[in-house]
Amino acid sequence: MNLSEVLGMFLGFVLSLMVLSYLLGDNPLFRFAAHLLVGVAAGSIGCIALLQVIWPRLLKPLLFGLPEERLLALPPFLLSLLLLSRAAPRWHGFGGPVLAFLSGVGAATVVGGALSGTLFPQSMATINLFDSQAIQSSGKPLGLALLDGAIFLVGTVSALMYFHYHTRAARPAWLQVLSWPGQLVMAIALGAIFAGVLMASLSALVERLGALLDFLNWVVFPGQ
Amino acid sequence: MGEILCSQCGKANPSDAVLCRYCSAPLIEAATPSAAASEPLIPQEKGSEEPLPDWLRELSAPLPSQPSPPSEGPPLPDWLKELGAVAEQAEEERGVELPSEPAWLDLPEKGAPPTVYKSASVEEESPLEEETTLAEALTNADTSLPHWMSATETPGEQEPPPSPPEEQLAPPEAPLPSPAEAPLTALGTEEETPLWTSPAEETAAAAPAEGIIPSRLSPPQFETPFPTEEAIAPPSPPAQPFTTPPFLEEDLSWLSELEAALPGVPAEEEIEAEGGTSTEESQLRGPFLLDSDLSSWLAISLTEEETAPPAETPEEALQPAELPSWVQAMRPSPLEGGEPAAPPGEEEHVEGVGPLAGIRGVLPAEPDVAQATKPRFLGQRLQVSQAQEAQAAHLRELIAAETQPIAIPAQPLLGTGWLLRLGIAFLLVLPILLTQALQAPGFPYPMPTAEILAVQRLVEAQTNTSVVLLAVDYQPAYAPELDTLASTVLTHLWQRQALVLTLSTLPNGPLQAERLASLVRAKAGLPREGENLFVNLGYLPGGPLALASLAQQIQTALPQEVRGENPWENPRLRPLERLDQLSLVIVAVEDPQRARIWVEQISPTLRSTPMIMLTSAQVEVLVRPYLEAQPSQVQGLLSGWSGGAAYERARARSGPVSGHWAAFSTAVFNGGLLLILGSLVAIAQTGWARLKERRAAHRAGGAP
Repeated sequence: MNLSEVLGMFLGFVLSLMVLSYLLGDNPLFRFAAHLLVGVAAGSIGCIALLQVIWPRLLKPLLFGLPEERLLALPPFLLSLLLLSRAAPRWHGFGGPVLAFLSGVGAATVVGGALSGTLFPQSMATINLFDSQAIQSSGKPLGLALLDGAIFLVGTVSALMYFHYHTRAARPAWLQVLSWPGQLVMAIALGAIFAGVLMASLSALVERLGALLDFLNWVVFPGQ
Repeated sequence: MGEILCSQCGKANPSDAVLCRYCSAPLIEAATPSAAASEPLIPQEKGSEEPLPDWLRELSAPLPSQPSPPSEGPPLPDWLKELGAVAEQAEEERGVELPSEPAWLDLPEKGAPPTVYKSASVEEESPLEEETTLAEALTNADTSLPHWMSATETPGEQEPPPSPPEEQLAPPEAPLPSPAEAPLTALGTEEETPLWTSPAEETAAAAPAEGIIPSRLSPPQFETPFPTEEAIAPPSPPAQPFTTPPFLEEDLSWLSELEAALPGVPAEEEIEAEGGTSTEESQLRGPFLLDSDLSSWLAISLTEEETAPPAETPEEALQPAELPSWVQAMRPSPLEGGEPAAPPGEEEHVEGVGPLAGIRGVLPAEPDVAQATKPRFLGQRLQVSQAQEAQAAHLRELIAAETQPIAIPAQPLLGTGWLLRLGIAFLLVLPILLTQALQAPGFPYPMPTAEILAVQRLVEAQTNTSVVLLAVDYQPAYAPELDTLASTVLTHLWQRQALVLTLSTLPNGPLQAERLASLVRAKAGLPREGENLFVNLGYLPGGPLALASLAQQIQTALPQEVRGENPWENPRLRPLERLDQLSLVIVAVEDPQRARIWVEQISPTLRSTPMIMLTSAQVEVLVRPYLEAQPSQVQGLLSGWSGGAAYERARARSGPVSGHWAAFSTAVFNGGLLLILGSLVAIAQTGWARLKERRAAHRAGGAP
């Protein structure tokens, strides 16, 4: 184990104890560790953006690239300058077109991806649950497969009906009846998500406690 | 009736003739001086008790006799002859031989009217009804006097100046009549008589020719066509009060106003007293003017220049001009005093600054509303109720409280819930530490599910020619969970000699990828020496847009690796242009939205290339629909440490997850117990609270 690894283990040990001190309440040690994490993350993000995006993809082609590379890098450079103008209140309006361009293209991309990647495939997946050929090809029993499909269908439709809002009058009774399974489905889904969050948190706790034990083990038994 | 010899032509004329009937020369010298002196020029009216004024008496005085020079050729006017005689005599006295008379003097003045001399004797002897005296002319001037003349005469009539001595009234030499007086004299003479000759002659006859002026320069010998200032001196008041007609009084009223408005203008007597041109000086300058061979108009001009006050310095000569009334009204008035106050009730704005300073009535540059003055309190009270007043006061307090800083209360280090927190931590942490320290066996590994087996199968299918893309798209906070899970799969890939390309849509993703590779290299010793199985393509900026471009042009989207080198020169990477040319796409993600974007943007373009996901346990529920869809959009899913343990169980090999599985499974068990215990406690507290409420309601209902 070299010095950098030892130093890394020590810093990890100290910072982990600082974070775990929150068990006793909010304290300067915890705040220092949190601020250090945020500061280091921001610094690393800035360096990476400069070294991996701005210089190699914008400035380097513009300064040392071929003429066609310079020509291609010029529009992004001008758009970047316009976007930077939003930092100054006096020139705030010059960045509007760039933001509009980004928002428009981004929205079109996201909406198109959502339609082609989520809405249509998930709708087809729900419909295909009742496809007998697909059921036979999967090898599942037909009745069980149909029950599985029915649960999926009722759960999806009832969850969608639960989010039906009526502003002028109260929700009709039939809608309340049909939306009740949707509430149950959503409760199960949120419980599963909470369980996953708990497992993820316990994973992090176990990993950190293991790192602390490893460091103490190395300190107590450095030869092992 | 006798005869009178003409002094010019020597012919006899009737005694009552005034002019020579042959040469039109006056016949005055023929009259008897004693008789002329004894007879007044204007006979007093019978019954008149008031004596005549001096100037009338002087006018009626007899003219002195003069010798008649020999006449040769056409007779010259008397005044020219006298002028020439005086000049010759003056030159002779200075010893200068005078040249002969100029030609223009010799020429007869055919057009010039003959001079008419009036004498008391002639007046007395000749009953010429058409000839009127000067006094009568003045009295009859109501209709014939021009307007400007009346205006000039009126002040003298209203305020008669004191009668000057006779020496001042009639200078002995060159009494030049003023043009203003010429009409006056014309009124008292015959129509053919030149207007400018009579008064001069008359005043010259009244003036003494002794003392300063030599006797040869007696007044009758000089006849100048223009009257002097002495000649226009105000005449003595008439014997009878002069009654001004009504229209003259009307016209003269402006003169009195002008006199009142200009009090600083001195009278003529004051000018003389202050050193102006006096009568003596004018008399002294007379011979000089006559000695020089100047025309009379030039003499007048010279006389006026000499009589002008002495030259002043330039500053003194610049007298302030009198502005018209309308200009004076616009003149800026001094700010302090001197100006009458504005009438009460009328507030005139006087500009205080700027180029219009001092001018009244200027529109103010700043409106009154812009003046920084405190508004006047009107004192009106709103008609509000007490409730509204209370609400307004409350709102006022809220607004005032917004500006006051709120001190954060210092929390004690050990608060009220610290025991509960410490108890829960003890129940969680202690079993973990004991399990890891004692390396106690934990719960058995979970059975691998279909999606885990699919991942194991897909990774196992990779060869040494395969190129696998691993997206390290998770935050550092989830590194303990996902690093362990990804290192398990990465170890398997490198065991299969697959080339792994890493990228991230997060800025800190490249660092996470480097750390992941170092962990695998430290734990499993992979890749081995000389094996180039890891390429970190770095950060892919742009989010969904970047992923869409990545699916089409991977080399364009990621032109270089994190160290700045060109990764596409690698022989295994050179033919790679699109993502569907990859062997496998693995996405390690902890955020459900980011996982959805990867599925939406990349999955449709992968075609036959499978995509598996290594997710956090909290994302599994949201990613599973893409896995269980028909056709599936995600071909394999490995979620959390439980999935990693099942993956290692499926491979029948221990890995990074196996070292934490015992502690992790214990922690999950304890956590589940705590959740159940906590839920039971919460249910008990709620039931106890409701029971208390029912008892309280029962007591309240049964009390009466």
